[in-house]
Amino acid sequence: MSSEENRESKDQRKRLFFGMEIHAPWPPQLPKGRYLDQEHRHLTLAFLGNILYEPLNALLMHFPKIRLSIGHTGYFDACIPLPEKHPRVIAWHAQWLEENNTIANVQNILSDWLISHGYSLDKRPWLPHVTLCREPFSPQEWIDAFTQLPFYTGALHLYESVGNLTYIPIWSYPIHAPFEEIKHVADIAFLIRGKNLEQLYYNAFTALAFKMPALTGFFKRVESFNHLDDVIIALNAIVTKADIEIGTPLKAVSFHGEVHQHKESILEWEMIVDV
Amino acid sequence: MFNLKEIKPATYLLPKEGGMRVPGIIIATKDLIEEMDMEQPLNQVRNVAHLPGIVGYSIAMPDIHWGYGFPIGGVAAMDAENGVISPGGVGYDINCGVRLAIVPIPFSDLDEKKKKALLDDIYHLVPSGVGQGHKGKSHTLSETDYRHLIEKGAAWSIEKGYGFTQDLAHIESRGVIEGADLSSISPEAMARGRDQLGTVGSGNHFVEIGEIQQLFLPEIAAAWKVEKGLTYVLIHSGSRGFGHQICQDTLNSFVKQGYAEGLPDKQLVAAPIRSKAGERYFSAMAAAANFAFNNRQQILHAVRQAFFNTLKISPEDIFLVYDVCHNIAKFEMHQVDGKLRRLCVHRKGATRAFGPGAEELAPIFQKTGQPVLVPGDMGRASHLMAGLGNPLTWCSSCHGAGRARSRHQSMKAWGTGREAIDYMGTQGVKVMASSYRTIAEEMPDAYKNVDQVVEAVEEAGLANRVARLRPFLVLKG
Repeated sequence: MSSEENRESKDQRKRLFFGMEIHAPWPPQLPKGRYLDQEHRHLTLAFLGNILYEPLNALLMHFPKIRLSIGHTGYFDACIPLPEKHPRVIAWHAQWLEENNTIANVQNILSDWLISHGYSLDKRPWLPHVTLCREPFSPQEWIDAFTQLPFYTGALHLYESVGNLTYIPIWSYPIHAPFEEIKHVADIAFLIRGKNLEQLYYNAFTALAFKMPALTGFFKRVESFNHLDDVIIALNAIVTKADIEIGTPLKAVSFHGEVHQHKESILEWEMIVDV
Repeated sequence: MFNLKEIKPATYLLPKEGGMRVPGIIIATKDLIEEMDMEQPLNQVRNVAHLPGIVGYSIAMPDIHWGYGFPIGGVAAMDAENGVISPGGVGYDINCGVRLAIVPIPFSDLDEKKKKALLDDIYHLVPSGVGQGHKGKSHTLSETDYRHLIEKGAAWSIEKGYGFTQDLAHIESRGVIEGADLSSISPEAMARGRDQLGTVGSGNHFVEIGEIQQLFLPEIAAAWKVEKGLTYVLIHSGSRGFGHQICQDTLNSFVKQGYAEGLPDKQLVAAPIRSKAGERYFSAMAAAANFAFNNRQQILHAVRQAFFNTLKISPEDIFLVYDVCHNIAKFEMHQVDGKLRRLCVHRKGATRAFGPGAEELAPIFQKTGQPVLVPGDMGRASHLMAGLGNPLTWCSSCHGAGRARSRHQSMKAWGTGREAIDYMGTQGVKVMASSYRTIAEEMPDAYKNVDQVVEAVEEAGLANRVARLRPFLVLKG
């Protein structure tokens, strides 16, 4: 290989990884550290390192079917300085509301697909987390300041790390948001999406928790629902418990609206909330 | 689209169509109708007209705006034998209401230092904000306390030293709705209200101090001891978490029992008045109403205490003008087609406005009609009116200015709320609240102009203006 070809090849190398956008009601103030800006915070699924972009780009046309059309909801349940012994980053651990391991399965499918095409990946078990900042920082200060926070995953991207804690999506697999705040004559209203009533419940709960993060401490898993009314009653039971224990500006979810089937078999419900 | 027809001054007919059992009546001036976004509230007026047993009209006041099921500013009377009772027709904040008291000193006597000290003391004595209750066991309600206060209403607080016996004649229904039953109440409801008596709560609830700015009917004002320039206290609060949970428990129960089937909006869910479910709701609602009367009684007590602490004005000298409910269902006798009938009148964001001669009123008000309290926004004005007992609206009137912007929209417009406090200061109004957010949500431009609303009420013959009140010191929830 000539020196010119060698340089070209270097130029085509990029520091790449697959990850998912993370949306959360990020606290306006965090302890000291070199922060990742909100729009750069992500959930890494597979880290590829410095690799040639073009072969991967060609492969993306055959990206595996991951059966993920709606973002998943969860909450950060712990602050984890990484690596444990000599931490260089502060991360928050992601806990999912649903117990079906959907995102872990996506991570598995993606990893298997990449390995089958010759890419080498980290062999350690996958730890779902979001990096908030890099050193210098005080781990104890971050641990002490941590409180649970809801989040949901957005689109799956192939990110390029361009340095300076900046990560740019260069390819995307679109995913619907699990909820959107909508304009309504009521005080607060959301369009909630889900594949079934249980998912509507989880996603509606997260929408409420975006308004009041402390609500995550009152989350209750459910078996199944037969009707939207049962979803509303279950959400209101959480609001009641939170109001008794800590007080909440959210007074109740209204018995309003019907479930509509949208394209791609997605259910949609307009949830309005009394405050 | 709505084909409104003016049938009397400031009174429009919404014709009956589809499944409506009765037509609608909208109390408003032409200007208000043109300025308001009427589509959703008027659809709700139509929806209410579908309820079984509704008598007369589905009625909207000039402060109407969209609510859960019923519009806020809605009145509907149901036949007590064949009709239904709807928690959505009362609202989540059962017996949310207003009370007005007069402090016998000119407001102009208060210098800036005294005003600040007074507002600080009220802020200290009256907990406000989301979920805020009193700290400490002395304010925690036991089951026995609950039993007594829901049976006796405001008299319970007076027995405990919060106010004076003479206050009772100046409270709607003497501060008690009969028929309350503790067995209808869930443990969650009692837990939510346990330490909340004497607290303002959040949202649009407030304690306001200001000046009687203008008199419209001096004779009636004099009969009520209301003089131009005097200091007033206006309190707006309700049944707090207790009433809210009772409404929620009932909605859950009614929906599960299938009472929402066939209705155009599930939030209108209603059970027959003479069913077990309907009777249970009424007894629970009465309990919440009585809790709310006690709540306002204890807030007034704290305000009286603050005036004593800062200005050495004796609590007895601060006299209660009146206390009205504006989220309630009550059994009342009304003339229907020439016959006296017992009706269950739902007033959600509407105030009873009995006229002169009404038997339930204390003698002082039998001569004048009952006081109707119409809080506006914290920047412009509130109004004191005298009821005329108009049969078209089952002797009802408006309850406030009515929102022109949702809380969300108002918060967006005013950002953090810090600027809002500064702006109110430039208008001569001192505001305190447990959160800036509340202040941003409650800014004057979030409301219609209350002057226009009361003009419509007067033009329609529901109540007459007695006095205009100008706020200067405001504690918000």
